[in-house]
Amino acid sequence: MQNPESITRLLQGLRDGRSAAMEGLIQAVYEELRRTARRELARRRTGDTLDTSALVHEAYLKLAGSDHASWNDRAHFFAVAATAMRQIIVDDARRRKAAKHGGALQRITLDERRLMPEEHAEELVALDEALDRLAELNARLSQVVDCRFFAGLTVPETAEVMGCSARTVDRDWKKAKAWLYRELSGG
Amino acid sequence: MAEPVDRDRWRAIEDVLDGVLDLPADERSGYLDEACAGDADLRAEVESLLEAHDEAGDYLEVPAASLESALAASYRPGQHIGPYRLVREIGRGGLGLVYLAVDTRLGRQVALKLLPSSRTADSQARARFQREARAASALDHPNICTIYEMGESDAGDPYIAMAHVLGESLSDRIARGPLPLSDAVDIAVQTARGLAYAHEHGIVHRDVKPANLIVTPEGQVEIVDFGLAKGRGAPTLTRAGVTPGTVAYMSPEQIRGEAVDHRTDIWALGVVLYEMITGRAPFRGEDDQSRTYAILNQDPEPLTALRAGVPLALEPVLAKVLAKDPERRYQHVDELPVDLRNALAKRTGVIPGAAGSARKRVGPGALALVLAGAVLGTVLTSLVLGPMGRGAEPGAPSSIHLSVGLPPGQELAGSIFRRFALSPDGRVLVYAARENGQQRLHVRPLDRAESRAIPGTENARDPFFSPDGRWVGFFAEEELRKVPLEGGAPLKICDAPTETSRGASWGPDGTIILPLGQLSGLFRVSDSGGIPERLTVPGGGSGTSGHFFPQILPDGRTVLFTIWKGGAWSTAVLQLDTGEWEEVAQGCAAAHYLATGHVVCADMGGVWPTGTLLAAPFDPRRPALSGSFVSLSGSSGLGEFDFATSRTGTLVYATGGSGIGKTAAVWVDRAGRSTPLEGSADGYLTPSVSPDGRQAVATRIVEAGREELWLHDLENGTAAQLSAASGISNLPVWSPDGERILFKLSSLPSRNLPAAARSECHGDPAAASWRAHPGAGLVLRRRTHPGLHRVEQPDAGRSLDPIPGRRLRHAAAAVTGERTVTRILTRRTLAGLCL
Repeated sequence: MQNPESITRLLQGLRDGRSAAMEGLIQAVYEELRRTARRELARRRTGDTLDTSALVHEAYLKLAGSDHASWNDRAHFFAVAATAMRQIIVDDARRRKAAKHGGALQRITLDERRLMPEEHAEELVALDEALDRLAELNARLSQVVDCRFFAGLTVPETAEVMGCSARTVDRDWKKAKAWLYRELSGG
Repeated sequence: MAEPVDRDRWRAIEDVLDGVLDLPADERSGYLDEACAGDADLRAEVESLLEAHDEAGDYLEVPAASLESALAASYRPGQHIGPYRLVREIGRGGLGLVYLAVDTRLGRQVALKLLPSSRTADSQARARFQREARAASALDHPNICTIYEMGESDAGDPYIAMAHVLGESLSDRIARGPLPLSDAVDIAVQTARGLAYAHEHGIVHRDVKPANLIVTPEGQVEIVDFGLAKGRGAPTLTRAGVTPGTVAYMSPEQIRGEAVDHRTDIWALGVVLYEMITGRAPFRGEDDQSRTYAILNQDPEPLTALRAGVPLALEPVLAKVLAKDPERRYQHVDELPVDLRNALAKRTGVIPGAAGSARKRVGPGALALVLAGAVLGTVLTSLVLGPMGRGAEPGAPSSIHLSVGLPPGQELAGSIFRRFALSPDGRVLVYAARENGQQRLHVRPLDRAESRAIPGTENARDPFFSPDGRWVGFFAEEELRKVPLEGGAPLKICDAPTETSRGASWGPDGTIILPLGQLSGLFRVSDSGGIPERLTVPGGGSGTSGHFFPQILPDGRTVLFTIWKGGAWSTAVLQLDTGEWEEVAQGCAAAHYLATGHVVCADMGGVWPTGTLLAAPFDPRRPALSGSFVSLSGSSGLGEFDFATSRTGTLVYATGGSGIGKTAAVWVDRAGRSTPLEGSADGYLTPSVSPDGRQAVATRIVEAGREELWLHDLENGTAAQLSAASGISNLPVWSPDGERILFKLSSLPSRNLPAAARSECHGDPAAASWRAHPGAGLVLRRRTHPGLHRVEQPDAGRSLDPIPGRRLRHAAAAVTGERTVTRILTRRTLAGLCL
């Protein structure tokens, strides 16, 4: 169980270059995002899906907002949260895919049921795999997709998170989209 | 799958992309000329990504998970949108949310559809959306849900106000199980009427599916969402406007991302009909990828195999609705209601014993009747069969052989059969031939040495005689025409596609029977003109089929014709009185009945004629063969098969007619002189010389259905068969380093081999398999079998090494360098070389 203090410590560790902290940080944010998502879904009507961007912002406020996290920490947080969000969504898609095709019968709790439209599961998993390949060519492109698509951040927000100009984000976004579209295109 | 590029290469690609992405389209080429100077690979890669970028549109633009909720969060019951007050949400789908709303001006209830603004983010898309919605709003038909108006909410989300139809969506109805047959056909007919009306007004739905068909309690069908779908191909991920899962209703051309027209709606209606009848989708798979594969490559299980009581006559109708090639589909949806109703009326159709054991089969694809290769000289041989009593063995008829050569410079023109005809009395030959680039009919009395062109028969093909021998019918300029043999202007009989003509026959009562269109059925028309009336519907099961080469028998009531079905040929007899037909012989085509009481036909090995003519005694009254086939002409390998007969028993056949098996690999020098490639024989196609110029690889057609790869050492003149691969191996090409040869391999059941192998290259340009890649080897794209195959040249003949590919959709490649396979996925780059 993580608390805001430990998150701040992890962020501190990240900034200090202790890369081992990254894994723990993602895990912490992952857990927090999931908790927030469940609570949100329980509150909403059945059938609603989540606004990931709101989710990430809310998780940030809860985890880091009370602390005097520096701007830099906030950027780090969102970068990590974007990756965590992708993990949540893709894990969810994988689970769905397995359940749908009679794989191991996994229980899907009701409040997670509508995290993503079910029909997207296949493509999300494929996208996730494609993103890993893209990251091998240029990790930044993959990260832009995490921020824009999975975390739902805007171009300026993504630019803040990644510490580069909006123009760079825009270019990277275009290149990433083109590459992924081609990669995942059926025809 | 190997990564196409490494990091350094990718950096170079990105650099060029950064420069070119912001440029207007017309400046890109010039920029690339400079930026990629001398690096064709780089340019190809950048161009491929540019194309992907241009096509990607709003792909990924709607964040994961927020697609619907963002919209839903913006609107609540009670809220006012323009003149409408939202009452409650009544549906949601890929296109957005649907609210029951009240038009406060009229107090009328409407269904208000709200679309996410992200979907129409750019002004171009917005303009297109409005244009299409406006066009759709002009539609006024009982089977189309009326659109009242459209507008935009304060938040910028476009909305459409439409009639609020009380009813159940067809998808909900199907979810409860298959529909009664009459209901299913009725719903399909109503849908077809609505679509026909829209198509007449130039509007294509592009997203016909059960969820878009509302059935009122009175049984009225209302089509909703007209003209709203963008009909994009994959990928669909969170692309607002394309409901995930609709891949099930996508047509092959839609999946391939090609231009889509009204025939896509016809396809989708076929899928819906299939689902209504069987309760399940025709093209199934665990995921979109396998469903996509099924749509592109597989025939659905026959309806009759899945549900008892389905009239057999429904199968050919459905097969035609679900023809992979839009050219072979119903061309107009309004043809469907009649055929559907007729099929339902014929509930007496016999369900074949094979029902229930239907198997999946790869579609036979295009019937490749267009022959390549030089004709090395055509000789018509006349064989006069002596009297042969019915039931007697025709093996040794008294016969006279005489050869009648075509005049120099003429070569026969048309398809594989019926390029010439004999007059009923056997004295006059009429043939379609090309001379100096001009195709015309020529007439030649067999007892004379010269022939003359018949005036007014430009571009004519498939000639046939009138029963009195005074007229000749033919196909030309998209019409069926007739011309007096003794001179006079040709007259039009009816419209008929010329390119796909497959013979016609003129009966004693003035009826002409002809196939119309490539894979349609037989039709009847009066020789004085009129609208052709349908006689047969090809099919009776799954698989592409067609009825060709009719011959009206002397009684005028029986028609001998050829069936092409699922990659195999057969001969059948149609009774004009009852409209029923049955097959009488397998594996032969273009049958002629002779007054001697025999049927003569061409022996077919797979798609291609084997070159042997067969004859068997035939009883026209039963009608059935009354003895077995014997070979009439000696088999001369490939290429000798076209023939004509007279009522009197004269038979004329062509030798050297097709050019198959007659193509040779030759060296051609700059002066145009050619010398044969040492060690090669006839039947060579698609030679490819290694980059170092020391070796050549070519396809050798051994016989119909058997093609091998042969590797020639150009220095010492030796040759060896390259690949021990079973099945057809062809279209080889070298990698730039000369270490590898890529080739196409088919390992289908032998009967389908030629069809499947050729269909990839002939016919459907979208299925084009091969393309030269600039500065590289070749693009290989295989639909019938996933993956690529590679032969390591040092292990020639042994190592057949599938190139690992993660999924089928990656099955397009170019050899670009050492162990590098690059995928080329876009339409433009695939449309290329297809010999």
